[in-house]
Formats: sequence, structure tokens, C-alpha cells
Amino acid sequence: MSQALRSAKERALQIVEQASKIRIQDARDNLGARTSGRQVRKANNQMGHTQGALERAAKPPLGWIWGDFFRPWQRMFPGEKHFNADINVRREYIPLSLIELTRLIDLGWIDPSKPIDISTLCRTQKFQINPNIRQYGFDLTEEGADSFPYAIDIEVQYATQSAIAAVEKAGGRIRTSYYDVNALEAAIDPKKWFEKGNVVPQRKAPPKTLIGYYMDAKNRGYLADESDIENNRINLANIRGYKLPDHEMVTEPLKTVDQVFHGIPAGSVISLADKKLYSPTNEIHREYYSKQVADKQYS
Amino acid sequence: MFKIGLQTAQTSLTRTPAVLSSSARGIANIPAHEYHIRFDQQSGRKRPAQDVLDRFKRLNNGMWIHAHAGKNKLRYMKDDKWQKTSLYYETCTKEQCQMLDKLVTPFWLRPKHYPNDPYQAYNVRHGIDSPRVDDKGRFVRERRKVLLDDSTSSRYFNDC
Amino acid sequence: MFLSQLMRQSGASASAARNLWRKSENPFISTPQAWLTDLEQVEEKKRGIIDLHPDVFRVAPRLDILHRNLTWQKVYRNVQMTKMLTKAEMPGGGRKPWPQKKTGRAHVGSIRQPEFIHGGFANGVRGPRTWFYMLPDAIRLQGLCVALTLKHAQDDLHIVENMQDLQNGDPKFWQDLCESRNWGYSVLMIDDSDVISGGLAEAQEQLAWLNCMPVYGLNCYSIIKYDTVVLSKNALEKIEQRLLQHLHRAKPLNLKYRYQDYKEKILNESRAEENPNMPPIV
Repeated sequence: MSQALRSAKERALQIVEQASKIRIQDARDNLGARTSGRQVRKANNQMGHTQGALERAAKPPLGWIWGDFFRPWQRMFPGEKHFNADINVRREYIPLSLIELTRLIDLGWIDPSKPIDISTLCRTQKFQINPNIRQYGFDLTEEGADSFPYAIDIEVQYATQSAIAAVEKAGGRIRTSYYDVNALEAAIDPKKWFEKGNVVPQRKAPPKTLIGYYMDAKNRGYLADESDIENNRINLANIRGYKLPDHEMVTEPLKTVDQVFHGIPAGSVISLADKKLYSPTNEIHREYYSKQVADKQYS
Repeated sequence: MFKIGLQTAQTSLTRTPAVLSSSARGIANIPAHEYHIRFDQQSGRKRPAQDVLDRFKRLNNGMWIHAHAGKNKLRYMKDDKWQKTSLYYETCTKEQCQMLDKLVTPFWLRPKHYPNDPYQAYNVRHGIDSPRVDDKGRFVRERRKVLLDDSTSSRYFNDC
Repeated sequence: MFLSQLMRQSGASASAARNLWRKSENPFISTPQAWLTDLEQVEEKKRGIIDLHPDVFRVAPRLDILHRNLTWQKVYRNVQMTKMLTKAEMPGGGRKPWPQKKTGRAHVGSIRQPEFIHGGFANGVRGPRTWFYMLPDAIRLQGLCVALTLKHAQDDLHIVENMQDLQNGDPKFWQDLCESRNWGYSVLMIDDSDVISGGLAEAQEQLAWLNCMPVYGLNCYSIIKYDTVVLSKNALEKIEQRLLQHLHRAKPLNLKYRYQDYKEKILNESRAEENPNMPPIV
């Protein structure tokens, strides 16, 4: 007990135990928690004489700190195209470092024996992805690459070479794949998507600026040839100087290129209440959902 | 003295007389939209100041950078040193950063991660003794790591 | 430890060791315990000892968090319906009562000006005004834990086997019971079901200081207001389960309630009403 009493909590509770009954009027804020601002008296108010005088007075333009009213400091610098001009076409990714991934697996938030994709990562509620502000998924970064222990099957949207090497060194499989906005929305919160009664969407092919990335076996793109990827895997191991495991640790089949969820074909409707999957029977619908379409992004 | 003389000579030669220009832009002639923060009519949300977005960039550590003033002006008549240094970006002062933060929306204040970002190296700053967190306990300059304690974070990440 | 020694001396039945969900492995965090009793007879009979979860019943006694909860509970439902009329809203007053100049009287334009008797009010109370706000989930959760901790630390929290279908509904019996057990001036009984029957139901109708509450009605104000809080065993299970579920939930505790997210829902609230154009004013 004496050990336990060392904590501030136990000492506080000891005081409470010896105190008289705590009533409503005894609960109060900490000292100094709320301070009211100093009242500026009318005589000291330098803001202006009257409201009307303030309204009519010349006021500086927005952001003025120094300079001429007509040439304030923030307008004296030249515009720069590299800064924000391409914000509408830039794709943002959520950084996911390998050390954070290790930690998520260590603490039981993610099961390493099952395939890991956006839905798995978002289910931990540790990441927020908002497709509406052009966030397009996860970027696997290399922090913690030198000690990544798990043979996982992971699918991210972007990955550095070091991260790819770290995952493959541990015997895992990594693929980078593109999710269009609609598919991403379904993948982020499948429960919400199914409860709305929406059809499981088809993953569109990447837009033309990204198609090169996802067809490159070096990036383990999902559109690349599997034999190319295998060659690149061995090649990367030789370059980086590590030994690949002898036998395949991940043998589960990959998602097809237009599939959002594992085991759920595009075009089906899920009923969570009945735990059933309804596939389209109409030939037109089936054809619609089996046709590969490109994402009509402007970049 | 010499500078002033030169300026007056320039204006007298090239520009309209000072009396006329001053009457055109009197002290009260600043248009009202310039000194109000604008809000969107449809959604009721704040609109960022376009002047700021064109000229400045916010780094993830909260610092704003801008190009050299007069970078594109009369380059041919300036010296070699200036040719080089004028291409550098400059950082804003604390007051300027605070002001710029007010002129843009929360979207721009959010730390953003782009792969192959040329500004990646400048998104972190080291050796600063100001507090790491704001009044609500959120990190000011660095990304919040998922499920990582401080010591592990500092071992693997070099961003604070 | 101390309680179990006591129990061995008193010869009560075996302690009800519960497995506490996600209890910390830290050996320095001691498990709070409480006696298990019943409400069958006046004298307190100790039936055993029950383990309580330290994350709920042994948290830091943050009186400031409790204060925020109490203030919120008192304030959020206040609505001020007073509306003092301005000059424009008062009837009449459109005519200039006398000429502007040369009368020797004040220059006035309306008999409803604020200077006039029966005039409008310049800076009056302009209701309806509410003080509604939402306390963050984390603060509300912590407030409940603090309130329960305080009650337990001051020996004002009692666990009973059962509250339903008790035999004796005589107010005298309940008064004697509470007095002999030193339960103070007022007692709050908390059960997991929202329907209560039997002796306790009869007694609490007669006695103003004895009240019953379902688990979903648990709140800081009531816990602190009543001198003694009595939980049934089922209620204890449910309270712990609900609070721990929220304390350990994966979603962030500081949920944002932004208007732009709820705008659609709020504006379409009257869609299901009988007359969508004239929804009832609540």
C-alpha cells in the first residue's frame, strides 16, 4: 500500500477519503483555470471615438503589417508557380512508416496473417483519409526499415524503394495500387458504404500521369507483369544485399485490378443484416461492372 | 539624397504628375473587399486570400516562405551575387507567419505529405527551443505518430 | 487486501472475484473493492467482496472535471424566453409627437423612443436565448468516473445483490434500513432495468429522499447530489462495461460536431412530419 500511495492519484484520494462528504458546492475549477480579460474602460479605449468614425476610417488591406496601404508587404513579393498553383492536381498521401506499421501489428490492431489494405488500416481508426481534399491513400515510408520483422501482404498507394525492400526482406509481399475517389470512399468505411445500400464500386484504372508508376515493376505496381515483379524482387535483393526467404511466405491470391475488397466482386450489393452478397444477374449490369474504365482525372 | 533625387527624376519623366496620382488613390479609396475576410456565399466558409496563396508557401513546420522581392525585375543590370541570391527563398518573421495563418483556411494550415516533394527537407526544423505543442497538446511542428512514444519516435524520425 | 482480511474474520461467503476487462498489469495500481450486501433486512449483512475496476472506481479525483460536468448539466438546458420589445416592435409611435424645433421640448420622433415611459427598450433582453453547449465526450466520461470514485472513496457507494421484487415496501422499514446502515439523508438506487417493481418501488413513491434510476440515466449531478449511491450487481456490470467500452474505443474521444456535417440532417428534420411546412415547435 505504501508503494501505491506514492502516486499523486493515491495521495489525492487519501485526502478525499479523510475529507467530509463532497457535495455539489465543493466541486470547483482549478485555481487560475479561468481568467477574465481585463476590461478596457471607455476612457482608455483607443480603438476609435465612435462606431461611425471607425466605420468610415481608412483601414489597411488584409494582412497589412508594414508598408504603404496600396503596396503592403505581402504584395511586394513575386508570385511563385511552384508554391500552390498545382494544389488542385496534387495528390496527397497519408504517411505510414514501417515502425508505425510494426507497432500497429505488435499491439494487435492489425492481423499480419491477413492481407493489409486501406480498409484494414482505416479500421484501426488511427488514420483519417478524406478523398474530397485529394487524399489518395497511404504512402509507405522507410522509417524503421532496418528492423521490420513481419511477413505481411500489404497493398498501399505509394511506397519508397527502401520500404519495398524492407517488406520483401522479411518475406512479405507489397503492391502499390490506385484507388479512385469512389472506390476509396468505399474502402475507407465499408460499413457505412454497405449500410447505405451502395453497390460495391469498380476500381478504375489510374489516370495517365500515374499509369507509368503503377505499371512499373520496380514500384511493385498492381498493373505490372507478375514475372517482371518477381525478377525485380530478386534484383532488388541483390542490389541491397539481403537474402530472400527460400519459400513463399505469402501465397494468397491478389486482388484483381478492379476489385476494392478481397473476395467481393465489383457490382455486388452487401447486406450486413443477412450477411449476404447479392451479385447482379442482369447481363447489362454484369457487363457494366466488368468493363475496365480509366479514371477521368485531368492529371 | 541621391536616391531620392533619382526617384523624383524618374517619376517626373515617366509617370503622371504626383498630384494627379494622389487624387486617384486617396486614403479612403481602398476598396472594401480588401480589408474584409471574404466568406463563400454558398457554403458560408472562409475563403483564403488569393494574394497570399500566389506568393507564399507554408511549410509543415508552420513557417512561411516567399520569393525574393524584385526577383524578376531588371535582372540584366544587377550583379552576379544578386543573380544567385535572388533565387533563394526567404522565410517570414513570426508576426508575418501569424498574420498569414489568419488569412488562409484550415486546409492550408494542415501538414500535408506528398511523395517526392522537393520541399520535404524543409518541412522540419531542428534546434528550436519554443514549445513542441500548442495549448491543446497538439504538435506544432511535427506529425503525430501513431501509437509511438516520444523516445521511440525520436529514434526513428528526425523531425523535431 | 485489508478488506479480505476483514472478511475472513467476519466469516462472510467467498469473494466474488470478477475478471476485470483490460485491467492494467501495473502492480502498483490496487484494485478497489466493495462489500456486497442485500436489502432484505434492516441490518447490513455482508455477503462478500466485489472487485471494482480501477479505471472506473479509482481514478484521480479531478474536482475541476467534476465541476465542468456539474456546470454543464445545470446550464445546458436553460432557455431564456424573455423578449423586451424595441421601439420598432412596440405598437404605434409612427407619428412625430411635436415639431422638431421651437417648442422648447426635446427633439423626438416617436412616443416609443427609449427615453419615454412605455417606450421601447434600447438594450433589453432579447430572447429566446439558450446556453446549450456540448461537453466533450472525454470530459463527460471522466466526470462519471470521478463521481463514482469520489463516492467509493468516501464509503458512499454500496453494491447490492438485487433490487427487484423486494418483499418489504414499508417506508418505516426503508427509513430504519438506511439509518442503521448510516446511508445519510438521501439515497439513490441504480439498477440496470428501467422498470422497478416490489418493495423498493412502493417505498420510493412514499419517500422523497429515496430515488431509483436506470443505468442509462446515470449522471454526475445525481451521483453527487445524493448522499449515498446504491448499485445493483447488474448495474455495476453494465456501468463498467459501458464506460470501459468508451474509454477504450478506437475512435477519437473528441468527436467534432460541426454544423456543416449535420446541416443536411437538421434542415431535413421536418421531412417526416405530418405537415412539413409547419413542424411542431419543441
